[in-house]
Amino acid sequence: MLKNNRLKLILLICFMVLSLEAKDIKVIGPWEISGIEPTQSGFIFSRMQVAETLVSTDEKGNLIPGLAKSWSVSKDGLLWKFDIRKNVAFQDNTKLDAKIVEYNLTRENLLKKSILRYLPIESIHAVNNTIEIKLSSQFSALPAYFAHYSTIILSKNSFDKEGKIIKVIGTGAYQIKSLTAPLKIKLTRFDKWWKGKANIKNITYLSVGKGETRSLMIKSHEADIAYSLLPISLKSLKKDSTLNTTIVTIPRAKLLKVNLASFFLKDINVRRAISLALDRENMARIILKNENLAANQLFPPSMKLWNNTNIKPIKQNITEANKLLDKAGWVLKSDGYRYKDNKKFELSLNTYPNRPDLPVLATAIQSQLKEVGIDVKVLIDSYTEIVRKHKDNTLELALMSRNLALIPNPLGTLLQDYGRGGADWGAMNWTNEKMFKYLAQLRKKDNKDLHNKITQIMYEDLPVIPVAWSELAVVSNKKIKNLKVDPFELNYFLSDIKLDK
Amino acid sequence: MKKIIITRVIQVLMLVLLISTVSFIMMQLLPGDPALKIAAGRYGPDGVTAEIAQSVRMELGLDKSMFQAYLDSLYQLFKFDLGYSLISGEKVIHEIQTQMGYSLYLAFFSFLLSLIFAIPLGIYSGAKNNGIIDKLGFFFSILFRAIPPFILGLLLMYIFSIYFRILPPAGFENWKYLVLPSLTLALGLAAVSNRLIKESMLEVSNSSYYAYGKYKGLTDLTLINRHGIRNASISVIAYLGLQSIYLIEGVVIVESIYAFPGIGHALVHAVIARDIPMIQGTVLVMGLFFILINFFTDMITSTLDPRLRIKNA
Repeated sequence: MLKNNRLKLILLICFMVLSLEAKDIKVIGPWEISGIEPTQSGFIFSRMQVAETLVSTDEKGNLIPGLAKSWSVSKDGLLWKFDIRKNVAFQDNTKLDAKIVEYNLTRENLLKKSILRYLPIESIHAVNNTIEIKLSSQFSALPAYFAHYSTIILSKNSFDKEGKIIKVIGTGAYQIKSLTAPLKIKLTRFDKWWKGKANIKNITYLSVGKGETRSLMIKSHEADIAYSLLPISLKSLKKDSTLNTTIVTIPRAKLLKVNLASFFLKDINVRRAISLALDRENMARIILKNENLAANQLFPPSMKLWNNTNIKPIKQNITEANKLLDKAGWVLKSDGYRYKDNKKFELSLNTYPNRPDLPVLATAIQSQLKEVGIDVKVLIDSYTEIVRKHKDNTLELALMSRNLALIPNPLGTLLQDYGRGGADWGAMNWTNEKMFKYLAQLRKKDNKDLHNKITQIMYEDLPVIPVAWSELAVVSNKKIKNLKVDPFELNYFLSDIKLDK
Repeated sequence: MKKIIITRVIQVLMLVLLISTVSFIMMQLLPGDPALKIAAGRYGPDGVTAEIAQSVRMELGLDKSMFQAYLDSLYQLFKFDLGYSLISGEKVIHEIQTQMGYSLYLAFFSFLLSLIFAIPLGIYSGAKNNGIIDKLGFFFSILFRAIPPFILGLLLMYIFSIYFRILPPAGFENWKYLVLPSLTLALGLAAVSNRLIKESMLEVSNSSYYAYGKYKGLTDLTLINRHGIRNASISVIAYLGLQSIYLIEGVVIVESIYAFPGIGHALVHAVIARDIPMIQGTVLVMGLFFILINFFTDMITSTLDPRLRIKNA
């Protein structure tokens, strides 16, 4: 009894000593900081509000003015003007002006290696306190590109003489105190932030690759906000009365990328049969722990402008799938597999382990396609294999997770992935003139009717087969108030959070 | 002593050449397009495309012949320049300095902690062979050696961070953050070393000089102090030197579980991303440390055993 009490006393003293130090607010997530170049790691500086872009987004993903207080386009749609906000200070006390914006936006790395390379930009110039962007063809979604993290605006002192970034000095609510790449960044409040002072003084971001470790860190209150928790951990975290869980559907979909030039997959009946053979609801319920993630189209219902409500949920229908395969000439033999021209219906399906649910979904798909006589070999490798096999045209089927809103307007990703010629992370050997026509129209002017026409074409033609949507689970300590979760993951809105004392 | 130093210096020079050559060849032999892997390391899954990989290839001159690339890397090395990371663009030497510091702390405390567990347990088990402590030590040694570090790590986090809430589960701020990763590694190390210490102690206690001491009427404690520890230490120290391999291997896994920014974690990422300068630099520094550890092991064993001093003279 005495020994037991002594042990308790020792543990209590240890606990008190360890609790004495005041803690920073600690944010954890799986993303590593692979350097300070914005085209690589700008996402972390943008999310943590160290640096800002010309255009910003609210928590619903709507475009709002950022470092540009307004923007306009000429009547011919070829000249865009962004008025740069006055009285904005960088964290080194230098002032923001159009010249420094021009310097940032005309960096070779940005124009050639970031998402801006897809834009028909002819020139970017500072005129008075305005940035003028001249295009060679109309592009209605242009402002959304200037919300992308790679376009963060940094102070002149962030660059060396050769224009290489040596420090990250932005205009955001927080400035960098220390950076230990690839795992940690310590921030302190920037009191001269143009939007006013943030509520919390010190914030630390720690990259924690293992999902299990992130769960234990938030559960033990070592972390205050944890991003991207695994579905399997959420059940126990939701039960914890000291934690808040927020789950939002994000514009990211798990898709089967299909090579339409493949002997096996070129027939639309086969692609439809594969789609019907999938038990999306159970895969979403069992593997992703949320049956609402079963995807019948590219965009989830939360993306109201792009989700097509005319498309009904796709239920597994083995009978119909078998009929379609029969129609396509694939004959079921006694070994349980289908054959055509003495060729067995066997496919290889590439996927990768970076997103832990993909290999599990791939094996579920393998087993479901076996039910209709298709032999699938699952290859779990690096995601670069998908890019390589796309390039040399050896890919048959790939299960991938694709961010549909690399910028806050999905048109950017659609143009990139489903435009003429397809793309590494989009269509492969797919041609649909109607689709290309609608995309070209959208480049000029946004139109909701065209969104529906595009999603309908994709539903009917299946250049990719949607499997599931994705969600972002954020768990925070209950003392954190006013936490907003941005489905586009551009901003963590840390300046808005408050501490409940 | 002089002989040991000369041997080690020659070893270091050979090792530098060998490591840079072997790591270069191994990287070249790996399947897949290096430009694609480097682009993936920089821009992640959503940003990597064949077109970006091509621009990386042009930027880094990856289309050079293998022989030319090897000569270039050797030339850099002989200029004592480890180059720049192909992913972060930072100087390799700066990255290694930061990461090595964290890993050395981790390795040192793990090693120290393992000795704190293993030495008393091993000596006591050796002196009281087949006693209850020996049997318990045997059971736990098998258990801790058999449990993979990532499971052990999660268990320790659960016990100390969730249940007792006295230690942080992951990260790196101060000494508290070192305890659990060090303990994870130390338990695996001590699991083997305590058995080895026990066997060495047993061997010594079965020797004729040990029996003679007993017949002289020396107490157990005096016997262990005078004749046991020193004689048993020779083989144990040689083994502990070899354990540094386990330490390096263990650090890789433990650093990933505990989000610790050490060299093991960096090496794994460098291999995945084909960051050749980073791989060559890291492996080189690790190799040099291994030689340094072996050097100290030789020194200590030759101090403990005069016969080795004569042999090496």
